[in-house]
Amino acid sequence: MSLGIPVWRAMDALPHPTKSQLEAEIVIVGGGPIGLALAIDLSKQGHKVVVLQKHSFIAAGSKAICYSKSSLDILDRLGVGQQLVARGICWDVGKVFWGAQREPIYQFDMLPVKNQKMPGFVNLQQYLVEELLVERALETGKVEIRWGHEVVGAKPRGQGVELDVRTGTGLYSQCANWVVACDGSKSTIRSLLGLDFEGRAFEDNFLIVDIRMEADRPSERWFWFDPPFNPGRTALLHKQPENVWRLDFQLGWEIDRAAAVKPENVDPMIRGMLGQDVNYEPVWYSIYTFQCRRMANFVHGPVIFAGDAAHLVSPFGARGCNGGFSDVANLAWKLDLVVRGAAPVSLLETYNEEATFAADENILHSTRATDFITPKGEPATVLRNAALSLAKDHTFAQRFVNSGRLSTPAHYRSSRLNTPDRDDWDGCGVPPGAPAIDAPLADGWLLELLQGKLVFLTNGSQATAPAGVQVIDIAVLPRSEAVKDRYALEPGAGTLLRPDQYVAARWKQPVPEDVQDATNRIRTNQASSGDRR
Amino acid sequence: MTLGLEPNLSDPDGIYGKLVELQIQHRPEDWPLVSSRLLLILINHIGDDDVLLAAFEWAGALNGD
Repeated sequence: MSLGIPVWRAMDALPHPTKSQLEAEIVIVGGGPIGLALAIDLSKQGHKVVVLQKHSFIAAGSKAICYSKSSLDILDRLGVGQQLVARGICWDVGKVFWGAQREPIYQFDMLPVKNQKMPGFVNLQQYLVEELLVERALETGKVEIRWGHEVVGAKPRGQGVELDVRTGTGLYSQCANWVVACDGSKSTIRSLLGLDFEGRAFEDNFLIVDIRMEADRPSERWFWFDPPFNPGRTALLHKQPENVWRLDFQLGWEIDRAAAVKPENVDPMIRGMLGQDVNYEPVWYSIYTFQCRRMANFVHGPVIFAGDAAHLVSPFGARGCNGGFSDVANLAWKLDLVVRGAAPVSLLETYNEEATFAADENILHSTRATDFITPKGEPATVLRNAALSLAKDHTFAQRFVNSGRLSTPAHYRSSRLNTPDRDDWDGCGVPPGAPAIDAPLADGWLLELLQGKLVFLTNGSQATAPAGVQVIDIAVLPRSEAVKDRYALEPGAGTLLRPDQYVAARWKQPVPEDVQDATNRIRTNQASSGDRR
Repeated sequence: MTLGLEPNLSDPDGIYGKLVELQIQHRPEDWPLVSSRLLLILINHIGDDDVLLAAFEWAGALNGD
């Protein structure tokens, strides 16, 4: 039953599982983009995964549309990057407008370092991303998606969890050693476990207008402060594939929500933004409000939370779905090591630490953007207008203007998986805790070579890497200049990269013990006793 | 750097006079915008978080504490 949820693609509801299917190592609750991506990542490490999806369809409607560079790097590693780029709208440039001025007060570039495989951003309707992920998940042969299976109960069982699952034909009990809840902002698992979800709700309504039109407009993000067609408020325009455009209008708090989505009330705003003579066809209109919340802890014994189930942000900055993909990349390799017994369970605590840190960063950015977009009171509005009025002529003031700081990956500065720098890098290269940056290498790209393993990336270092660590030596690879520059890898230098494409350690002249210690630090999530620092 | 609260201007009367002039040139309802622009320009020029946060604190202490 769709219960009023628009259906993009109906899937066959699966019958009750057979007895042998009732015991699983890993069950993912929720078959949205985060659950599916996690299932694929775990399957790449060799795990069989069950995905419980309460609906028997992929939902349509207006949800996430903007996928960040970092998410694209993750999704490319999962095998859907090329298709996503091919189907989506690539963009790097955002423009900010103010008042009736026809020229932007400034513009920004989301891909300041060029020459990387993936673009700065791709816009694509969430259901198309889900469709790609479903196909990819099924291709792996290791992911079983149970459409139309809804979790209605959860209790501890041994070291694991027993889930009560309802299907169209009745109830069954599913056991799992690990449950990852990727079941969205209204997470059933979170409710069943009675867990907290603290934060702040914002008193504002936004109207999302998806329309279809033929238009020769650039693939850019356009944002307006106080435009004539929505005075005193804001508006946003994004291009999506298949001639679908997303218009987003701030409406304020005290409004008649039912009236606001009526086509006759939306039409003047559309024409105000795009021109009186615009030809369009409505696709989907909806109103949203938002909250910034997160769970205090994402790991509760054998139950782990990821994506919107664990943290919610305002949409400004595209930090919702992208924040979820960052959870996926962070969690998958850690859960893999723990399930295989190659790392202690405590490694999952570093997922909690790093993912809550990233969530706090996302919440901070999106809260600040929201406060800039919706100033609280007259003095705050004056201050904002001061920044806007200076921005056209002064770069410094553009830095104050906040139409949403678009999602960039968190820098886990103080993660205990990092080996602190021993050498002075003078601000060059990529420090421990920072995401690996892509660069051309040989006949492809660096990130294409980082496929979910620990990697020792070096420029001819004599240091050997411990078992299970892949070595990439740019000294023997053609087209390696950009890697050398971006990582500041002078001859002999090396850097240890995590399976989720983060830098863990780096040295100007490493010896084998350095690489061994940094690897141990990751696998045991603590510094070795003879820490050589 | 720490916030300087000792006298630092060679001609305080002169610069204060210029500030009053700037104010008189504008309608009272525009003054909040002008002074906010001034604030942002100076904040950027100072560019030191510790100095700025100390200044915010002094500026906000309306009861002198």
